[in-house]
Amino acid sequence: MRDREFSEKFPREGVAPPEGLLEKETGPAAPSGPGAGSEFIGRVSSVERDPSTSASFSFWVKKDAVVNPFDYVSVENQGESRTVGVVKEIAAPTDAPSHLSNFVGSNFGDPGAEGNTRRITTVVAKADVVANTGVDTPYSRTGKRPVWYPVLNDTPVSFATEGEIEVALGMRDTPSEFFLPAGVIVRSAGKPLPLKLDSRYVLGPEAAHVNVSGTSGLAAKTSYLMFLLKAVMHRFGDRTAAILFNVKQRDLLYIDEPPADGYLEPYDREMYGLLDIPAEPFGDVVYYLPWARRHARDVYSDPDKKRVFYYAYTLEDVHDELDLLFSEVEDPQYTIAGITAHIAAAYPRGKLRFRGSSRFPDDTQVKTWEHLKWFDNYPDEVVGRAQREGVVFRFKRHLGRLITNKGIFVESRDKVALKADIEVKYVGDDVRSLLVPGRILVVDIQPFEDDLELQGFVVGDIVRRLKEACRENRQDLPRHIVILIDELNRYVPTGIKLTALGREIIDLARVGRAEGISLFTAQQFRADVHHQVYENCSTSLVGVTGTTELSKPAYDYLDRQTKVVVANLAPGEMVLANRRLKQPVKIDFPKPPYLRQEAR
Amino acid sequence: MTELTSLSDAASSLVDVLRQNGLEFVPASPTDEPPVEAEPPDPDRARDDRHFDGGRHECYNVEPARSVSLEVGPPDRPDLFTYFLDGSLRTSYWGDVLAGGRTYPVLVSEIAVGVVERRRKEISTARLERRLCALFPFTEAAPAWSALRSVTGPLEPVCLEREPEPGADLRQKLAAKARERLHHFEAGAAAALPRSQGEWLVIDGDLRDSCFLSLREVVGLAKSFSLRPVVTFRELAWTLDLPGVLRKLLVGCRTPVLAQRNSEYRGLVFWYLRLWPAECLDNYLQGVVKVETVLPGSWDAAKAAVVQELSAALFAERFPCVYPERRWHAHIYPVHAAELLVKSTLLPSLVLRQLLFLGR
Repeated sequence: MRDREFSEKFPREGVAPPEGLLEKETGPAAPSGPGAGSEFIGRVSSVERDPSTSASFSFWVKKDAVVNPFDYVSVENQGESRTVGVVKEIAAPTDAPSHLSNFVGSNFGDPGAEGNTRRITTVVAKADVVANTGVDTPYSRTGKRPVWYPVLNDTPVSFATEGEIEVALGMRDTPSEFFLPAGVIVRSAGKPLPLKLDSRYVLGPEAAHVNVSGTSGLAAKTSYLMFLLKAVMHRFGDRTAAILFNVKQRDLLYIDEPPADGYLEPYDREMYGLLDIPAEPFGDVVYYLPWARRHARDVYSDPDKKRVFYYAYTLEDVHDELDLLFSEVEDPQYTIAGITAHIAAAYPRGKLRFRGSSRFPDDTQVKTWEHLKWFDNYPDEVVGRAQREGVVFRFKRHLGRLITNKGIFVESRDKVALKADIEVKYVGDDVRSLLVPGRILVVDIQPFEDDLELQGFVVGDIVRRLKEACRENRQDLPRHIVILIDELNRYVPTGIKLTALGREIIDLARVGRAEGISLFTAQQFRADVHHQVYENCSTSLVGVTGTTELSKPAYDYLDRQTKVVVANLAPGEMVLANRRLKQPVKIDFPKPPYLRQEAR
Repeated sequence: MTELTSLSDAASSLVDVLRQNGLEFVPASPTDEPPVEAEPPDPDRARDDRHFDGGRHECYNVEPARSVSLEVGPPDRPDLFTYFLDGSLRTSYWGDVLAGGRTYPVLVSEIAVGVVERRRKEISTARLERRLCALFPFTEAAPAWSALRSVTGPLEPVCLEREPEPGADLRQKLAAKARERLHHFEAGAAAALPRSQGEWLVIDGDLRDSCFLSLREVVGLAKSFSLRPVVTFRELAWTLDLPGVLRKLLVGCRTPVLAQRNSEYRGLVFWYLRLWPAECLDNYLQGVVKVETVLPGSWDAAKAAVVQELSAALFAERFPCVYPERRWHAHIYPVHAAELLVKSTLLPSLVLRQLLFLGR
């Protein structure tokens, strides 16, 4: 590439870039500290024990420059190409060959001994090679052939330009119509840069699913997922719908209301501006509160101005999903599984009828939960003959335990019969009918936070109905459907036998991308989640996490130096890995632009 | 890269001149020949030994003293020393000149001199010079010399001052000439420093070279030195050989200021200073430096105060130390830094040889 073309494509900081890029590279927001506007920050140092390789190189850093892990730097390489590296580790060696040298140098261990001269020391940064801008070639689709040549000793090093970072992260290979802003890359010198993921690798069809982990409260996992959802709905709202489960207090029950004054700081708004996302709440939201467990008027001052419904389940709604309800019940002989399967098959054909019951006349058809609780006329091939009484009794005992006093299991969802102030719906039906592009369904399951079986049932029911809808009428549904599940470790834990819900979620993780369903999931500890879920996620993020957790195999996708950074992340910072990116990226992101419960 | 090319060109020019003067030059192998051992195993000590041989071993104290071991105390000015100088050379056998049916060796020496400056405990480069010499076994009387001398470029031709005596080891003669050039460059670098009053210079090694003696506020610091001196302490009426003196020398103490009875260097005095306790080292001869400076005229209290201040400041220089380097116990860190600076500028031996030996 000729000099001019090269400098136009990859303008250097400190060198006058083409008009229009000046603002981007050295605009007023750029920090004025050392390194921000200067050309070189050091030189490559290739030594006998630590030579430059095609995978990494080291460089010493000039005195007044500040370099941090995850900064991008670039170095000239063969054929006028530039090799871009990401700083992984920073050291400050001295000429003392061992700690003993310093011990002896302090008068054999006298902490008060002070020398006349400071030892020669410098800051040496080690960078992993991420990309090379390449040399021209006609024998490549991109017209470029990268040079995987080690950078040579003493070659000047500078901070990578925006263009070089885009090349390094593969963003240049993504057509702009697929750009999905996913946060900002904060640099030691220069403005933050938008990280643009390829949506085909987040929402499908190439790859899908996002998983976030990190220490509770500090990592801002839900905030990140909601920010990302905001970006998705802004960029692809014409073809995307979402289903959210509210699991923490009233966290997600006001996402269509603007945030409290001052909640979004200027930096948040600046990031939204940089990412070209309006800092506005979600537009088209439908809320579902659990009948009898959360009153609409306790949540909203005027529920009539909201699209809010109660949700509840009649037996008719979920007769074919009782396996989800019993999924936490030990069933080594599969007798309960046999009964739920029988109900699923016989109920729609009206074949569940009482015989010889003292409570209901003969031939009464089982239609309601009350019926089911008293029904015991299961055929021998389902419950066996020898232990029939015990098996049926066990089923009925668990059924009673699971549905009694829960509120959401009703004989009828009729608003008048229930004396409800707003309509009571079956979410499974709405998943089929109301899930249109741009819409978000928020299902509140927080009132069941101590009842994992019930939460699992609600989530499992929706997931299963959605999958059914996808199989039956895919063309009637939005192209992309995002399901956001927090506290994923509760539903798909690692190390134990999978529940029915666990199997549903794993199935979604495995084949969801083909059906256009993306899981946006979060949990405190990634290692607590079944590996089939996170291994199928194309995008993994980790916020600040303890070193014990980071030492587990679930974090093997991060190298040692990155783990050190992760252990020291500030609240709200994340390290993001995506199939399309060549290296994990440290990002910052704005707070989600809606009303948080604590601000009400 | 240009400098390397011109070096190669200069080497070719010198070879051409030899050929034009009827002298055949047979270059050595660019890879096989090891560097000439231009220095004995302990060059400082060997050099110092020469100063005390031939009956010149007698020394006496010019500073009146009632003890062999004088405590130096804490320094008034820990940063008394501002500049630190070191030089280094690397000499290679370049080839042979064939003349009159005999062969004569030609050497190439790369010489570097560096001075570091210390301000507020931080070290920076004050001066750095690097030169290359081609050392010919001729004197100026040789017919080819005037033509060789006219060759300009980065490879300076150097000849011997006197015809070597028959049977002399020419390689050693040429290597000694290279060392002489090094001292010359060192003195030039020291003289060129823009030093203010009170900014003392430490030179690695002794000052027993006429070019050093005219410099003001300079000390020579020898890490190793001759053990031949025999010292008479007049007030004590003791005569001790140097090991006997050093055995009595405690850490943080110096000997009285000494002078050589039959010295050819007027005004040059020296003393020994123990930086590290003998019990921490292999033997009592370690951990001691020899300090030289020029103090002309008769002894007085002002001179005693200068020596005391220099000694105290030098003693304070033992931190940080350069352990585990060889002779770390007699090294001071800023000189070590100057040494690093100098050595880092020398061309790798293989590179130098490849440049010079092209066209073999």
